[in-house]
Amino acid sequence: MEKMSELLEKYFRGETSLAEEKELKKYILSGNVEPEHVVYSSLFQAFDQEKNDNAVVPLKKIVSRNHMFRNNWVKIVSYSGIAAALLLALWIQRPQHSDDFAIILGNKIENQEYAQKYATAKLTKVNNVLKSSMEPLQSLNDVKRSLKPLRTMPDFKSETTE
Amino acid sequence: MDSIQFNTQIIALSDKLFRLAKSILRNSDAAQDAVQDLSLKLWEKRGKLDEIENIQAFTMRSMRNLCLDAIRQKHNEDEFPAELEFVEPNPHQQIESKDLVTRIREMIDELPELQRTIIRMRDVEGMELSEIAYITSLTENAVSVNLSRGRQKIKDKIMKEQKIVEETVWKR
Repeated sequence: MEKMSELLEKYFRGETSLAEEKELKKYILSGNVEPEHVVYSSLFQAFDQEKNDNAVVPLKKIVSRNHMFRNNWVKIVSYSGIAAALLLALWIQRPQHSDDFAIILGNKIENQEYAQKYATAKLTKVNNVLKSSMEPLQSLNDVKRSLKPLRTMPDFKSETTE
Repeated sequence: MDSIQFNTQIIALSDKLFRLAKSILRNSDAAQDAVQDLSLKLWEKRGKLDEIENIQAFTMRSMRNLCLDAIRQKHNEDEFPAELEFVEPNPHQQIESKDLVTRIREMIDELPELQRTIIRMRDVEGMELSEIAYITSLTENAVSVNLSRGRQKIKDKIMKEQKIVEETVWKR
């Protein structure tokens, strides 16, 4: 500790080397110091604090014209590449549209099974309607069939009229 | 010197230059402006920078000269506080309101320009006496004398403040 007191005296006389000052600083800031040396800890702390005072706005890097051209070219190529990659990704992941669909009651139906069932039900209904509509015609057919033998007796008809 | 060398050697020194300018001008905004000015001036003269052996010392020296010119100019215009007009607050008020680390930074600021610049170049930036001598245009011996005077003044002030603190504690 006596050595440190001597070093401190030397420091305040401006006679210490950078290495000695480093050693002194290490000792003072270690926390394990003689009571009479504690007061100097604030001094070395102040120097440490000042070392962290950095420029508020750092200086902008100088960029020469050649570098600007090269940087711009690199930027253009990079951005074009990114844009192309994005377009490709979008094209690959585009929603898949099916051409196989039906419009039912104004709604687009892509479920094939549902569309088939719906169509079968509708056709059955049409079939039934047609069937019931044809029933009166069946009677006419019966009359027509009954009249057919009469047509095969023309001679008998002419004889009776004479 | 091309732009790459300029960026590596000069722009990399911007924090050191800022601290030096702030120490001399005692004003962050003015220090920031001074660093920007110096950077522009050096860029304009980049062709001659290749001939310089120690670019850091040269840049620091240019920074100090630029700041001293600014002080002289402002002093002539009566806008900038001169060295002798720096008013120290009452010691009792200072001790009560601030911690010792902050006070020591102010104590350094209260020193004459040469002493505070030398103390900061040595104790904050860790520069060799020969480099400081080149930057300040002094001999190494003169640097050592100023460093000693500055440190001794700070020591006396710290002791004085400690005494006031102890007296205040005893009175309570």
